[in-house]
Amino acid sequence: MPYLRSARALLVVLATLTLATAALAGFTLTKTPPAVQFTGVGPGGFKMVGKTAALSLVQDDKALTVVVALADLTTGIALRDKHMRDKYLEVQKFPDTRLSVPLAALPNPAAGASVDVEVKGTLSLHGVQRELPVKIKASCTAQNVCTAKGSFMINIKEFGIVVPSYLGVTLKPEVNVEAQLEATR
Amino acid sequence: MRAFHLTLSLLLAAPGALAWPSMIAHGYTSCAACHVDPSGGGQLSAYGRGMDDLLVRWHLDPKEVESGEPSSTAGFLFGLVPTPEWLNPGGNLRGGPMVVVGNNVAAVPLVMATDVEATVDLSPVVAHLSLGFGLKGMGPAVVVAANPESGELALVSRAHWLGLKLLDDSLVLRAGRIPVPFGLRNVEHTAAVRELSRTDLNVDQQHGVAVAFANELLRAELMALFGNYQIRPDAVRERGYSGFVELFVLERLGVGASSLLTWAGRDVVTGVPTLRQVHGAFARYAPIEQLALLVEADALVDTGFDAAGASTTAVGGAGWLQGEWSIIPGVKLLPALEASLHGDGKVAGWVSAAWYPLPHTELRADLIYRQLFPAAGGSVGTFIGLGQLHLFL
Repeated sequence: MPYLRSARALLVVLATLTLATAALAGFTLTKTPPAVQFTGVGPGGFKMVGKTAALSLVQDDKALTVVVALADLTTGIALRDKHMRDKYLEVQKFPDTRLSVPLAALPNPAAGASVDVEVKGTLSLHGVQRELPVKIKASCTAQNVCTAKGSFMINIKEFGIVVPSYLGVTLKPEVNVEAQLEATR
Repeated sequence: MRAFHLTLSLLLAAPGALAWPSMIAHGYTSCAACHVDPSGGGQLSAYGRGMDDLLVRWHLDPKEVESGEPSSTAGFLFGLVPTPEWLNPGGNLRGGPMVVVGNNVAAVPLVMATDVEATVDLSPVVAHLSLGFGLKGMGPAVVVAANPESGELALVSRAHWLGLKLLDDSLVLRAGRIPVPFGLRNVEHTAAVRELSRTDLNVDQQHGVAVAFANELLRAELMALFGNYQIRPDAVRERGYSGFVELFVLERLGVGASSLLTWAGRDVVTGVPTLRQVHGAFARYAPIEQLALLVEADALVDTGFDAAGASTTAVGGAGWLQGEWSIIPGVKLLPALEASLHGDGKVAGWVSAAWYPLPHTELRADLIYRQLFPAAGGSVGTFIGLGQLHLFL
């Protein structure tokens, strides 16, 4: 009998820990694939779009952090992808980029409502951290399924990334970044 | 017999350009990065030479391209002659055998293009000139010919223009002999959409002024046509406008519209004063990187006037649907279907294959079946086989 009491106590502790962890997790991605996209432009209408779905969320008691793994970023040309990963983003040294937004600044739309806000976030990219404004459009359903679209502009020179220049075509250092995700709260 | 000669004469002209509207499959919506012409086609820029070497050419060992650096042979004359950044010389040589099987059988060796070209880029000012030698059939591109009646043994200039690049090269103003901005800039110049609209890259360039614009959302060019000053008399010169706009509504999808209106005191085909209109739509779509689909549909409206001033309007149309499948890097299969009605009717199917075995080298084979429906009645079927060796220096 003492053995059963101990087991019951252990189960209660485990259940409590699980519930606490779930509560801390806050946002959980749904099965809808997230989408991250960056767009760089150059002379004469030249455009380069990079995409990945390798987005995950990490949350602690202060901030929600969007983590994007860079190894699978693709631009439509395999060779250019390799160049981008190896020469410019140096993915081996800096495998991901992270955007942290304080929980207090996150929009919290009511069910059925949509909100547009601009918050301060901290972007870690290529080993450099910088604070920048992030535009977020968020909406939630009555079932607490929320969709968020975020966008911000970076100057890659400020993150120590070499401006891509190739055979006379040079990208502008300003790159637009957009992300879309669906999560439950 | 008439249809046979028509087919033969059309094919004697040269497909003298390099143009890949299908580069949208690689995410390239605009053309200016790879071509000296902001609307694409023809001479490659340094970047275009590099992309040609890395993305278009066949590599026996795929690891050859892993460095991301084009081969040293990608430059002018296989890299043997270094050139300063401001000077971009080039050449365009194309020839091969053609076999036509209709009521008769004819095998014809063709010298299609022997052009040298140069672009001087002193940004924001840029100048381009192409000069070549034509055996025959170069019609509107002939500058001077040993035999002006037949146009044989001619000095040819397909394009020569002076330009001004503004707004970080997004806006380009040009004056000179310029490819007419209209529809898909496909190299198959005998396709009805190119031939009947008179907008091919081979010989149909016109003198005029043009403004081209491109950004990440759209590309467009509008040209005031002053007439082709390489043909005489003045009455046959077509004056008016031509232009297109293409919007990139989705990734790897471009949707465009084109419009052309010209007036000639004596149309080169009908011989009477003619108001010629062509209006159409085109699209480029690449569902995957290895496959691009190109489609164009144009309405053709010709209004001719007789000596008494009475007018007659003929309405027709032309359509083109082409797939471009990159089977492996450096080998493409290009099937196409086309149909047109412009006096005579035509339907045709193309099966074409291209291989880029060496730097600056294209080997292409086209098998074309055409069924012509002359306005007078009846129909004539023709098989055409065309082999081409294309060297661009």
